[in-house]
Amino acid sequence: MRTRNLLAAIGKTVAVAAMLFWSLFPIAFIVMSSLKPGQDIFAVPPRYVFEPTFEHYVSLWQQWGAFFDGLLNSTIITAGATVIAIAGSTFAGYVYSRNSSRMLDASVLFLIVVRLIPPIVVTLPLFPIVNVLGLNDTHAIMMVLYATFFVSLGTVLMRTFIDQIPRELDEAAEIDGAGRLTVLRRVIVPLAAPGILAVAVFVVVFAWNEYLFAFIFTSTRAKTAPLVISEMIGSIDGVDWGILFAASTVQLAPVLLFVVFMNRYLVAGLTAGATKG
Amino acid sequence: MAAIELVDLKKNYGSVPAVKGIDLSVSDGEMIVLVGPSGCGKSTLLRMIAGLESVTSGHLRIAGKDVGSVEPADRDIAMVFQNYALYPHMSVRQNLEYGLKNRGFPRQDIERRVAEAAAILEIEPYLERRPRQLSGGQRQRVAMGRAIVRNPAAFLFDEPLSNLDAKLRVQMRVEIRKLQKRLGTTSIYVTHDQLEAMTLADRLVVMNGGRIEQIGTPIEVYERPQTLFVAGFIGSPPMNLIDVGQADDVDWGELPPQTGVVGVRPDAVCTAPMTEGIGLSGVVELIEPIGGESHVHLLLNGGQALIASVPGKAGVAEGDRVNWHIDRADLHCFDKSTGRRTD
Repeated sequence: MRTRNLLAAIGKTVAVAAMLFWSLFPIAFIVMSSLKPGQDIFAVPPRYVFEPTFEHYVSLWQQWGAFFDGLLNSTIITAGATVIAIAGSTFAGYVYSRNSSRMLDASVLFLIVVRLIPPIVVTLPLFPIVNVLGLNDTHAIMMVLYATFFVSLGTVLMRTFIDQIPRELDEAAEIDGAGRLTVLRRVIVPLAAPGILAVAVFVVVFAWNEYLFAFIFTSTRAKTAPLVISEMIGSIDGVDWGILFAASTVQLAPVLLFVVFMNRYLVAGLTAGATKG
Repeated sequence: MAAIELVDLKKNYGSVPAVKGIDLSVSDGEMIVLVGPSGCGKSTLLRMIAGLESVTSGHLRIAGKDVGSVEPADRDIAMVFQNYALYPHMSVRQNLEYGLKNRGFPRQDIERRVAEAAAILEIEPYLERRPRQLSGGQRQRVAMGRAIVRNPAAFLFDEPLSNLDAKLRVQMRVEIRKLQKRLGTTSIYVTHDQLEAMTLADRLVVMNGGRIEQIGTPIEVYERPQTLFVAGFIGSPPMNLIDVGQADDVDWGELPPQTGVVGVRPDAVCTAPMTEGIGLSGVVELIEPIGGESHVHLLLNGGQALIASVPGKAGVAEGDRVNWHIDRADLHCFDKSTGRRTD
């Protein structure tokens, strides 16, 4: 019995270590490389001990102003998309949670099916429409696009969260003189806050990292940071790996911190409804 | 404070009728208890009065005003829910204030009313706490506080005590009754607990299958149940309902025409030597001593089961053959096919 427990413990440790290595190695590699002097980045054997330098960050600032414009665009678009997705998901989730009809039930399935369609299938036909509307290369269209892709998942998630709030609370508030919107704002939203944060995590990560839509729908004014990073690889002067790693680190940091900070809600969002609250 | 009047009130869910035509007048200041088994439509009826369920047809008047299509907020009623429905993210004070704030009461007025309600219900020490930091009984008081703070035309109670333990339930029952008498507010109270119903009601409304079976004071309903259903539902242990046709060895004497079933309250069974009345002989199958009295389960000679409540320790043993009797005046006679009272 003891040997079996020991074996299980060792197995678990090895598995966790492997998982950690798998997920942390690329991040550690990028961050460390951004701090290495240029000649050390691809040295064989790799150097783990080196004198950290911020020269790549300085070069990034001096040579790639476009990257920081991209970061600003990414921030604006991510914030906008998050707000729109949260609003849409909360309203829709509330409706799905508190009403039931054959149409509504059927449309839930549709919400899930929408998630299974490859984005490119929807993207290309959208291009002429966006052009005609004159929304090409604007923050607005990127916000709406990113939000749209998450409203379906967000709605299902919010419905699960709102389902856990007893309906009697809505009714008590109604009798207390609150209209539907007030019930939503004063009762449902505060109690479904973990769900809202979970939706926010999903949208933020997606919108911040997204490349394909940004590549198709933005060119200059609304160009996001990932696009600028890809331009660094295709630069005519050859790739300056140090700058590339510095830019990647800057791109990575906010979303990484955000996810670590919001970890609790992310897990809550993934397991919502799995067990009775 | 106000009278409430229901005229041929109906509720259908699709093609399924839940409430099948209710006529009821509740006087100003009266405490009405709706009682019946699960699914009898009592909660639906209460929710219709609250405005939480739509009315399919009929009229619903509060203080003379037809409120059938009026929003819950504008009916001037307060409701106490089974699970309390306190806002978990608000303090007790905020819970009490919420309805007043929504209605735009002035700040001073809100503070005065909350202080008054808190004093009446003795919840002042908990005003700054969240509902989850309170015990079941305290939460129940807060729920009541939320109802009385607005001084509404009527209180609606939807099984408010069923989440409490037995001891607390009795205590809160007494408090609700005292409070209702003190405030004199018209109240409609839903419960499936017949003891609660008997003790709280000015008048009892016994419901079954979406209809009213009987309306009356608790004693009227107990002493003269108008239908077989009421006879079997009100009273604990329940009334013994004996099929006259099967108990043919019992000399029932002259029964009213159409009588197919006779009812005998367990406490009407007399163990003293029979002088006059109707003799019931059988074998003692089981004795349940419950303290001041014992419930004796008899198997009558005709094969029917009968429960008798006898004072003290019963003085018989399981397996004994007994010859007990009942007074003719204690018989309840019913038509078997219609279920209506015949005497």
